[in-house]
Amino acid sequence: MKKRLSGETVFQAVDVIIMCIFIILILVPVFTVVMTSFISEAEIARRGSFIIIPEKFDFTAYEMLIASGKNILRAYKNTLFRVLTGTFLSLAVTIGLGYGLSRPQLKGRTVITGFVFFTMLFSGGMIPTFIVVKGLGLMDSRWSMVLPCMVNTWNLLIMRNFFYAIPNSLEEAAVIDGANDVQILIKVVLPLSKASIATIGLFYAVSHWNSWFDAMLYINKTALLPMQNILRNIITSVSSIGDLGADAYNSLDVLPPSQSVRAATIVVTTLPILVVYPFIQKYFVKGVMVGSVKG
Amino acid sequence: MKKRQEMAAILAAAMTMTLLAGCGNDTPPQSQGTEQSESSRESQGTSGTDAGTAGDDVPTIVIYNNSGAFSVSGAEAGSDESAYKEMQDYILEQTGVKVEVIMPPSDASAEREKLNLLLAGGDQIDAWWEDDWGKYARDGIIIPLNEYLEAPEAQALWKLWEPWGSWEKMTDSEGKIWAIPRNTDTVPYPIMYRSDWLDQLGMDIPSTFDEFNDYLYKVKELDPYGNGETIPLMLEKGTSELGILDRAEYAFLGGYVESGNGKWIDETDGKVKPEWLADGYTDFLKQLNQWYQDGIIHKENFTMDVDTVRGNITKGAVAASAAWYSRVTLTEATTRENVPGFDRDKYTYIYCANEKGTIGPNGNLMQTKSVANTRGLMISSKCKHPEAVMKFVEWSFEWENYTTEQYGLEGKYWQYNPESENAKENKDVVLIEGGPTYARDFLVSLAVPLEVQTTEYDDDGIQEMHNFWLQKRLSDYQSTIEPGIENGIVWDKVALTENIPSLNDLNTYKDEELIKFVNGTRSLDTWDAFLEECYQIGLQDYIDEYTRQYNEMKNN
Amino acid sequence: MGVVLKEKKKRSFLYYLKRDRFIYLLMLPGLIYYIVFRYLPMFGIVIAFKDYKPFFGVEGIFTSDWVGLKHFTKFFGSMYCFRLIRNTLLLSLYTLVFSFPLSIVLALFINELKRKWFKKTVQTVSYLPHFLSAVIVCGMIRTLTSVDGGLINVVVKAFGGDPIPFLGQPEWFRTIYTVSEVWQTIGWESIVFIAAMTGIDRALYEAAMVDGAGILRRMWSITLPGIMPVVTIMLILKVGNILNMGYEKVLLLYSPQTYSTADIISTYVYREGVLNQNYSFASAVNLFISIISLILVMGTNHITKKMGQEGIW
Repeated sequence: MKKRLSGETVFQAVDVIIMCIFIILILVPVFTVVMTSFISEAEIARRGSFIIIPEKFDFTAYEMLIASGKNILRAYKNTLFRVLTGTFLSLAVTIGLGYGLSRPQLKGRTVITGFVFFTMLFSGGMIPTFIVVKGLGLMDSRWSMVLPCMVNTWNLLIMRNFFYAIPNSLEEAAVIDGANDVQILIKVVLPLSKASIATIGLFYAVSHWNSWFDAMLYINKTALLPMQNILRNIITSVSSIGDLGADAYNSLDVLPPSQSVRAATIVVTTLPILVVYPFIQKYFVKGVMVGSVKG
Repeated sequence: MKKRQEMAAILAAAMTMTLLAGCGNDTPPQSQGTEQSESSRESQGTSGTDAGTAGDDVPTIVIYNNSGAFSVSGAEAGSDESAYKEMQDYILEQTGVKVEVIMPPSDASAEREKLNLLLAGGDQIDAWWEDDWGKYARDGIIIPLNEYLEAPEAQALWKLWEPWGSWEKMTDSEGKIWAIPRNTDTVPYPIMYRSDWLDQLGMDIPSTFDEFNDYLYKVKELDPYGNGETIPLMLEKGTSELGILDRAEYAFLGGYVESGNGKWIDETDGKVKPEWLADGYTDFLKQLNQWYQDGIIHKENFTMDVDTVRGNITKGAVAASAAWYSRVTLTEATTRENVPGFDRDKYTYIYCANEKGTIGPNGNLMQTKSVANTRGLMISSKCKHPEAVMKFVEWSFEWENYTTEQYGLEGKYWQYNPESENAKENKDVVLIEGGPTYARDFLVSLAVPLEVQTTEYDDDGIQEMHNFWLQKRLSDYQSTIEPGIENGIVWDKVALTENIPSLNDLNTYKDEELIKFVNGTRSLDTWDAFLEECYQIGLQDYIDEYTRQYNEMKNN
Repeated sequence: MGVVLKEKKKRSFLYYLKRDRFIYLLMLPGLIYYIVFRYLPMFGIVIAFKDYKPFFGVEGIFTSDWVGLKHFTKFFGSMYCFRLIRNTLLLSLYTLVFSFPLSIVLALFINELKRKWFKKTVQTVSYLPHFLSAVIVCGMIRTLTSVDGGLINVVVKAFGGDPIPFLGQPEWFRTIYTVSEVWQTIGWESIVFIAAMTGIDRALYEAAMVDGAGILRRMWSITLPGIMPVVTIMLILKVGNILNMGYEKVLLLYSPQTYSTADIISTYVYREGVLNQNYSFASAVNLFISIISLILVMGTNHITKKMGQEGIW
């Protein structure tokens, strides 16, 4: 006799199937980038860059990257500094501000929220910001990659909303126990917000990892440039991009880095940050046992 | 409980402190002595806040080297510090000038943004490259160079560029010279044919349009690449600045329009008009449309990016190319690899072209000469040592120094080919691998007049096709016609944008419609209506402004 | 020191400042940041009403000539003004309409996965595309849509169709853009929803299960309401960004053939402003966008509050 399938099992099966399709949709194009890094220039030219199985594996691209190894390492070090320091500072400041904004009894809360939100829509533009950064003596300093982008308003507001979502009953209980706001933050809110802090931390870390524009503006010494700027120099080389490059470069007749080198650089710059996620995921435990925190 | 409070207070205070401290810290040291340690270059400041007054009476100059020098594989991460320092010292020893270089980011829009910020921020930037010196000259941001160029030591520099028509583009109507040139007059859009396929069809290199057209249709039918994927003719789209058809116009318009691809004077009203108003332009469009319909040009040709154009050529699918010449010449070796059984003894290069150019339907040569543009190296009016900049520039524009700036020190990074007898005369140079990365930081003399002097051979001892083209064909103006009145004319771009309010709209509209005529979504019967629409947008302003500028220049 | 609960009468701000001094202290670094790095540079907005050139330096921001609304009239006077706003809005809206709900659905699906390793794998894979820059993604799009040998056209041919030069056809542009945006962003955007789901009290699920609620029922009446605050705030923030589209990706994909659907405000400004160093023009257009965005956000915020959700303020 057949057992009737429960709705639960059916759903699980459907879920797994859909997710498998999803993975394939995401992975196939990404996979071709990885494969492109293992192909010779001639093969790319012949077959186009959407290749799933190469005819012959070719490691020239990686050899070239290793050849410029010292400079790549130097850039990695800058990226690491920026990700670690930047994420820590950003997170600390964002939690502080976000927590304050989530306190219902705080005077001036609405005004400050408006004050903060306004900057999401209005900004002074690139040149004035540059002048401020320069005026603070941050030019050509690693701090120029960390401080001017310290708080992301988007992340801040999400953080604040995460704090909102914590059931009031818990905080009230703490208040009755005689805890003040700071104690509530440390004893009640932070432990309950591991997942959200991990998320916002991830957002900050990844945006630090990915960003290149500020370093491009504020840093003149190549020795201080992070990895992304090097990556960008490789993939958007003037000789390869049509309309992003000016016509003046017509006279610039050099070949851009081959597609395999570009692909290899992407692999090398993306791998490290991918490893971070599984670590963060342990904070993503489904359904925090709210009751257990109290004791 | 008390403790917690204190901790929180300390934490908050610490955070504030970091924020403030971070701002105060890390200011690049203002005074710069002579420093030796590797790490000290970090703090030494290519930003050079105060570099102009550096010690020992050695003038220090800062150059934003957006000449394109860094756009070469392996240079993306910049030089090793030791290699940079070594070159800097060598240049100091040779010229008595200490040069600091700021490396630009590689994509053009970021490169411009950075330049703008450097200028806005008031840092010491003594020299930089830009497309249009006009806007700087107008506001007194740069200095005229006549005085320096007239000096005897600048004669070599002057003579180097003179035959290439470049100085004219650096000179304003009063005779002031504002920049050191970057570009030259060239012949960049030749029709190149697959040597082996011409042979297969039993044809000679076409010398007229009819033969050329014949080849295109025959090769389409033969389909030597297979699968119907042979691309008989590869063109290239132009940029939004110059127009979508600009490059195709360079290659073919001369065969339809008397004045080729350039502004011309309408005899009937004495006004200066753009090439697309000239008689015969619709015939040119008709031909492109015909080719489009017949599958002679690729359906995606005017949406393709440069990589794809190059990719199609290298995979061996293109029978004839009228794209920028280096799409073919630079990749020639890879293309050969992809064409099985290519007989090198028979053809030398896989593509060939008619030296004499191609005669078009109207009996004129089809290709238009491309005149040098206004891109050049300018010297800031804030520069404290313009003579030092000029000294460095003059030194750089000498072939051996150029080679050194490009590869690194002689003997360490390059040498004259020891296997060749006349290496020195032929300027046959071989590179020495293995030194620390030198990313061409100091190369300001990246220029065709110097580039053509070097001779490069491949592993078989045959001159590389690209090098061959530069030396033999790039300045072969005989195979082209003159671009209307554009020779020696420098348009004032600032005035153009100011006096033609709808310039951007007009360009957008024109590009959008022209391409419709090519791919057949708009019929050429509506050409007059199209012109009417252009006049409504502001074509008259356009014509008037160009005419005004032209007359002003002629009167001076 | 407990919170004083009894008072009813008006107190001075100083009183509250004292009462909540630790909170204010915690907020201080953030506020300093906003003042220094966000508000201080705002003096630069004036260049929208001037003719500013970067090489004038800082002083130039103050000394350059006032031109009033010249740059605004130039933008609104453009025959393409309407088309630019329409294209920007449509591209943005399509992206929002598809990627926003899809990322929530994805989050729900991921959240329900039982096998831990599989869940981790799906999540890690899902946000991979976030690390690819526009240049690379656009390169992929070109290869995929290519007439000769592109995967999509291979499929079209297999079904007996003629290969379509997708990137040359205006009617395809929005589809291509939207699909690639969805592909690139949903995994990343689902993260915040997944995080929100972890904050839902597990007791609620247990109670529902006791009541015999099926899995879909639980999703609908527990998970979704549970993440609603985050959903609304994300939505409001996204609405605020709707006109704020970067130019890079479009610039890499469009051509005059597709201008009619692809030319957006930022690419137009790029052609007019960035290439000609016309910072004042760019600044004026940005100011216009900011004001519209502000109105949109205030509207959305108002509506969400009417609907009983927590807004931004």
